[in-house]
Amino acid sequence: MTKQTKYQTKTIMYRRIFTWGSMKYLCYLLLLMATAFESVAQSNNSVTGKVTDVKGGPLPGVSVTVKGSANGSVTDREGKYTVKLTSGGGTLVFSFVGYKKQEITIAGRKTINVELQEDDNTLEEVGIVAAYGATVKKGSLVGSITSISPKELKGPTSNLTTMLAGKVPGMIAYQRSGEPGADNAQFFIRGVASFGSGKIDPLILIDGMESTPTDLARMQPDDISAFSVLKDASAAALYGSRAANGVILISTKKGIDGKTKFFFRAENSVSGNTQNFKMADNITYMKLANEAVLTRTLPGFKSSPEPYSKTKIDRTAAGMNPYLYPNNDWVDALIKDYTMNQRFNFNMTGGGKNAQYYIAATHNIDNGVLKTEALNEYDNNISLKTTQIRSNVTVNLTPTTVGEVRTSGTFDDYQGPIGGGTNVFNQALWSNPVLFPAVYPASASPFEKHPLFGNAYIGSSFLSFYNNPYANMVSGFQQSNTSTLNVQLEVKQDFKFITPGLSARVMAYTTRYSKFDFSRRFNPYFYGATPTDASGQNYNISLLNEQSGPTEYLNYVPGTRTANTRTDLQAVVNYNRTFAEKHNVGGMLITQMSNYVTANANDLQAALPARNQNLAGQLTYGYDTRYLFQADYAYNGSERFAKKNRFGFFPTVGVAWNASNEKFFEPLRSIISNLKLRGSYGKIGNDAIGNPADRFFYLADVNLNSGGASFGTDNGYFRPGVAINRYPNENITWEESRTLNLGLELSLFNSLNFVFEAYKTHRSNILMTRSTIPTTMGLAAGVQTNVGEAESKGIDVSMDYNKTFGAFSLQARGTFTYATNKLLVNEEPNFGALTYLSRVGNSLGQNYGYIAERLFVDDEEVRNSPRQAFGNDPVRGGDIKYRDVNGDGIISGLDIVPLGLPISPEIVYGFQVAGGYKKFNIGIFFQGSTRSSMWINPGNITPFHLNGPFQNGLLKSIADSYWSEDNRNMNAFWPRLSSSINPNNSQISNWWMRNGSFLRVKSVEISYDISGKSVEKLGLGSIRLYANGTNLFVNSSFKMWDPEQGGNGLGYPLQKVYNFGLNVNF
Amino acid sequence: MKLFKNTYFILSAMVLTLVMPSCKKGFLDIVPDNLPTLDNAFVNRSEAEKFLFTCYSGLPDEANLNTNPGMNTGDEFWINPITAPFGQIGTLEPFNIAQGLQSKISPSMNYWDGSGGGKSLWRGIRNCNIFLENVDKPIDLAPYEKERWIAEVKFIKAYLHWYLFRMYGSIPIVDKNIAVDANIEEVRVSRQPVDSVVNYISNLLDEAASGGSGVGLPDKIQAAATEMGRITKPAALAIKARLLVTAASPLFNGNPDFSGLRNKDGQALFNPAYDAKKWQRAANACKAAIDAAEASGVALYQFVPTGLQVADKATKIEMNIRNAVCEKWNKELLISSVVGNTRNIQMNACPNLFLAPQFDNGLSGQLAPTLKMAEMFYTKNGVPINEDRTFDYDNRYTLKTVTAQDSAMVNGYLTVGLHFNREPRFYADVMFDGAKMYMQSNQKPPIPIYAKTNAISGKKQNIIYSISGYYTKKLINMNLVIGATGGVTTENYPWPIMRLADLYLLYAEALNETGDLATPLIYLNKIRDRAGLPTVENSWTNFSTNPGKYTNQAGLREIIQQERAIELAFEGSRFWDLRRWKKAGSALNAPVYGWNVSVEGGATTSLADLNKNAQEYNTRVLLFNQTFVSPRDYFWPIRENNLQVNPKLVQNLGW
Repeated sequence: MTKQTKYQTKTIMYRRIFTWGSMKYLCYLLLLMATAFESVAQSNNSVTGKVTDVKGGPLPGVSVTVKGSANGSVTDREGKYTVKLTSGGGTLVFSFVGYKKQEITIAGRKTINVELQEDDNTLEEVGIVAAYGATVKKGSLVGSITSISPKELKGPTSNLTTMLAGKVPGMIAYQRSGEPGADNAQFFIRGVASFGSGKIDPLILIDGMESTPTDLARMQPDDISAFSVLKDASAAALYGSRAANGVILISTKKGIDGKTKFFFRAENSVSGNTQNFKMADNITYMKLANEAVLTRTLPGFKSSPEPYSKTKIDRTAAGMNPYLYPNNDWVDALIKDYTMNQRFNFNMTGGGKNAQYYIAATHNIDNGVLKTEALNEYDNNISLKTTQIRSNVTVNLTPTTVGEVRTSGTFDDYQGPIGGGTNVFNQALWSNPVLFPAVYPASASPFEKHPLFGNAYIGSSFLSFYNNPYANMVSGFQQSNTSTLNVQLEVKQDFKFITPGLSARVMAYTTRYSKFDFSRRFNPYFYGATPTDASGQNYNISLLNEQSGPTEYLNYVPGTRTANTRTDLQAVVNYNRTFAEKHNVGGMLITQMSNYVTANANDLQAALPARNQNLAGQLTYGYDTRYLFQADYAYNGSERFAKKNRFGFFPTVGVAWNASNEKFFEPLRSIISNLKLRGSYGKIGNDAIGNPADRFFYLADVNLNSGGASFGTDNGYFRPGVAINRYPNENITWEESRTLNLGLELSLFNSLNFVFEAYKTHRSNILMTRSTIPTTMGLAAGVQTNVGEAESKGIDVSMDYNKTFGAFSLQARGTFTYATNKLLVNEEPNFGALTYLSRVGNSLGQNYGYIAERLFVDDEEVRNSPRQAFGNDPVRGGDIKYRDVNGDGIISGLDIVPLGLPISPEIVYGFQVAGGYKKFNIGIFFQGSTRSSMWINPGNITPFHLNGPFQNGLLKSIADSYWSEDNRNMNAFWPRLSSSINPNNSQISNWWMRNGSFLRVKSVEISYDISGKSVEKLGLGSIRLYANGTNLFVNSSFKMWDPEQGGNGLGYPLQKVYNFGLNVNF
Repeated sequence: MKLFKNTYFILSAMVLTLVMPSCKKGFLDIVPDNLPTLDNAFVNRSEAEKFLFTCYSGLPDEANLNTNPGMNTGDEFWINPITAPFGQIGTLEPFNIAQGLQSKISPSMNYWDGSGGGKSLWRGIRNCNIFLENVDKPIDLAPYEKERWIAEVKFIKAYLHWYLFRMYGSIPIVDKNIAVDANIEEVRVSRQPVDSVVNYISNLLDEAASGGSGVGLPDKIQAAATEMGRITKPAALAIKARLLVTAASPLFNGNPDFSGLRNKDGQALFNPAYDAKKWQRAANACKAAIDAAEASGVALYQFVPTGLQVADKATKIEMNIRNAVCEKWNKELLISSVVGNTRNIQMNACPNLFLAPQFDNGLSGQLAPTLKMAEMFYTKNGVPINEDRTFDYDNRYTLKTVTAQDSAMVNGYLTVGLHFNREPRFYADVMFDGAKMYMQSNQKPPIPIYAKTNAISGKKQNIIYSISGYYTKKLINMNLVIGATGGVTTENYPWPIMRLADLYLLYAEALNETGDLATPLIYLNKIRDRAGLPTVENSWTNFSTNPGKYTNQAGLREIIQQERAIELAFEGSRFWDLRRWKKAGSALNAPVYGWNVSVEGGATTSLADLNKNAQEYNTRVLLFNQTFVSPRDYFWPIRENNLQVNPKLVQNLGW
């Protein structure tokens, strides 16, 4: 072995000894070096210098080593270093977290100043944050962990979850709504691998604290030091029961000693809907509404009256007074074209040798795109103001003891329309556009102080009114206030005085969440207009709803109050040491207890605390950096199971081979700079199974006050009865997941890196309700048992390329995630010959429905086809014709077959290209997904359907393509019109299925860095100006709304954002 | 290596220190010990009583049009088929059966699984078994009371089996509960042969009714204020009589149509051989029930006017008939539906009686008897309309003018000949355009019924109205009050599952089949007398075109069957009777007619206006062509899904 590799081995070893927390090794670096120096000879020569970043700021903590020797040093607070040399020559290696490694030939110089370039993509130096805060150097990794630079997650959004899609290999993510406060993207690690009502989303740990997707959404990339995703059994094993669906680990930044450094970011963005659904014009609306009535009248029967008279249609078309002949475009009346949002982030870090701090504050303002009423003193538009304060303090208690206190608070202040923004968008379609205007001009009744909303009676009852979506939107607001407080204390002790390599830490935290909401609203005054002459221009208005007591003042409606808290205590003992220079032995033992209590329980069982207990351990052995072995176990307890099943044991093993470190590989190393193969196999449990309300499977749930009977002459003697809601089943136990993961890491020419991973997970013991129990058993509740099995498999690929050509730099990154799954064992009856009814072998997210062949040509064809009896409406020509799959002459539940792909995409990918020239940078990021189906809900868009006060409008796509007597298009988008939801046509069928694939320009960014003298004069370190945009363009075969919204197309659209920002360091 | 050893020792010690406190008992033991379990249901008498009542609550709701599988499912009533989303009747599940829309995918009135308007009776049976398994646990339950409760629960268990038997024919017998965690083979029960099922239920009813006076079930309810409605010995015996008569009837006795219905192992489920002894056994059971009932004071109801009530003879007879069903806890009642409330039936049966706003009072009158039922009733002479020598049968659809003699109708009214000279039960059971109704609340005189479109009681809109022009007067309690502002108060009477007249008719039917042609006449005449009719002998001898009909078994069988159809009309009996007589194939394969109810009358209540358009109104119109597929429709389909879950189950024939 050469001296060089020996030294490297030792460095790795020492880093592993001291790295339990993220980025923590810096604190120990000096110590490490001091130890390392003991083994090398002293020398009189030395070289000094200063290390700065590209903006000229000093970089403390940079590791400076002499290549091929054990000599080295780290930079101090001013970025200065001194390295002793054994000879005058050699090469200095400068390396630092997040910066590109630089090698400089000494060539006899005494002073060498270096400017290090930032490197977003490699975290090799610091290592990757793994389970329980351990950091693992990338080369030592056995499990499947993807680490993302926090910079990748930056974008003009205040919701971090919207930045995940296409950035993280192995993550399926998509965003269905753009509504501020409700725009969290859904994300699953390697897709959804289980089914039923249990937990299917990943465990999110922020600084080791169990967090919700919303907590993740509120994180600021500026505050994040490391973001890792644990994907396979080996990586997640230590978390045991909670990690079956993968783990997202986030570490926040900690203080760095030295002069206080400030960072400030301000952004202002303009955001608008990517796409609004398009409505037909109102003349068409009325004509088609009439047609819908006529076309459904059976031959020989008298038609119901047409809803719109010819006069009304003609006069509306002629543009007569719109208050008499209303002609509303509700989308235009309710929705603005754009809105402005602001984001501010400020942080500072500094401290001395004994204590360091990192303090950050964030304030984000997200506004909705809803219009407001000038007469109201309040704002009904959506406004979400999020404030977050974070303080991380590190105290060196003794030379071997470090204490850390992390506190953070997140505060959401939301105000918006009652029922939410999605409701407003829905109502733009679900409201009649021609019966009344949104609001009459104040001049129509000059003495009233309230808005003169338009409306009309439904039928002749004089008590019920249509929905005036404008009145509904502006007649009040709801407000909610959310607070999340986290406090965490961690103490780390180095026990090297007992034996080298031994350390321990204890961490405790509590999170407190509370939310309350309420709404205020007035009961709007509704007016109707009557013409005062035949001209169609002059009118009077009169109050319609005097009876229902309209008000000019707001009343108060209390809402829900939510509160919950989690407390967690964990202790970790760590051992890591290298023996005989080649044998790296590591061990970790963990104990953890957590307790969760909610204030919003409705019954005794739900009110009991949810508890988990975890005893886990890890053993690692590495030989000569070439062969790595790792074994983990978790012994988990959950309060949900009977005593005999309360604990589950989940072991995992993994191996890795750094092929490129082999001697025989040396000739290849100039081409293949790194080649590593790794594999793991293990078992993980999951106790979050079944319905959350159904917690204690081993207990009976009996209601002793249910139903009952009464007797006596006047039925006066009543006694309640007994109802069984759940039969006890002591055998219910952990859901298990066995994952095999194979990985290949490949680097070419030191600039092109690939990571390929393939996995196969077998889920078993999935809780299902037994379907083999005949009803003759007479059970009052389903019997659940661990019988379901599913398999998921897929591949994750990531690629990155970095190259600098003089003043030019080029970066490219790509990710590709394919995750698919299959149901293996399902509780289902024996379908006999009708094998297609079985769900086994299909995807867990498979949709089922009828096969729509086309539209019926005419009534005669309906009579000669299998009977389609959905409801009482007669099926007519132009209605959807379904295939009689089992050939029994009737379309029934036995004709339902698997249709299309799951709604959650099986493939998500992204690629970005960024280039820089001197201080300019430009980047573009494409993101797409494919292999998914989306479903149009025909009931939601059935024109003219009256549901309570809501009468549906007419989408342009329907007006453009529908079956009519005159144009019997068998493949028209919309079947024969009807004035209400037609049960035959609203069945789930492939008629309403669409391809959910899309590719979008997710973001584009251009930036300019200013640094140097001119900035320093202002007392600033550096300034960065940038402009970026998101969701600028999408390509998809689906045109009615943004395809990423899927079935939520009538909801709040995704936002297209143009943003300008400024970063200042000082 | 020594270092390594030391290290490991120290490590282990540390971990133990850390782990030990967390292992202390109880961190995961968060569930308090006294959560309610099934054992709590039997800790004492008071809790066990709740479980007894739970067993009672498992009985079907027969007082409800949406859940009684015998009411709106045959040819007694017809309703407007587009009623469903808006109407008072609620669901169209029962009416689907009447329209021939029964399906095996999602059966209507599915009392097997508990869907399509039915509830799972197997669930009720399981509760009964749980009760019987645990009833020894409460220590403060007195032995005599325990015996009574056991008998009551055995009765309920038997009744639930009987209910399924009547619907499905051969059924599995669940005498003991199968454990929740039983393996897949154990839970797959199979259907038992009809004769075994009948014997099982019959034995269970015997057990329920066993014991002398004061043991087990009471002969009569003593504590009426708190126990009225609970099972008595006569009730249990009466249900046994109905069971055995059903089992002796042509559908089950000597019916070859179902000989092909076999379990998968080849076991035949229907015995195709006729067995005359079944009728004797049935007759004995009827007699035992009659004796027990009469001994405990059950008797045919007679109206006794009190206070301001009208006492003329015609009204008294009308009230004899109506109150035999509608008077609360009248002495004819043998067993009533524990579950349910008759308000809904009354609101659907009764038309609007006053000029109140059309929707406001909720009286819909949409439960409309068919023309077939109107023609079923005898003439005033007590014989069928097509047999009465004095009745102009051929011109029964021709208009005639009501005279003062026709006291049940409005004087001077024009209506069809069919409505003249009919027996009192006709006028007591149905109303039509020009009929009258006696109401306790309105004192006298009786309220006239004007049923043409837009008239007081007629059709006022397109959804909720009597589609045939008839109204079911029989089911309306005379204490129904229409308030001044539109609200309607009804008197909730216990819905009769069986009354003494029914038992008499079962007895007469069974005896006739055993060859005894004399005794049946005694029981028929008791019923006819109460309804104001002459005896069978008198009526047929003097008025029938077939005067000797009652002297032969076949003729008397016809007389008994029609008497039964009339006496128990609109009480949900005919549906089952047609099936067990194997007559549904002919009776239910026929058109359903009504009057032309969309014809408008005049605007006022002057006679000229009331009689306006009488000719058009009194035109017979076809409402529906009923179809009955034999032998398929004699039994319910077992929902297809059950056959997939339990491959041992076989489907009923034809489904």
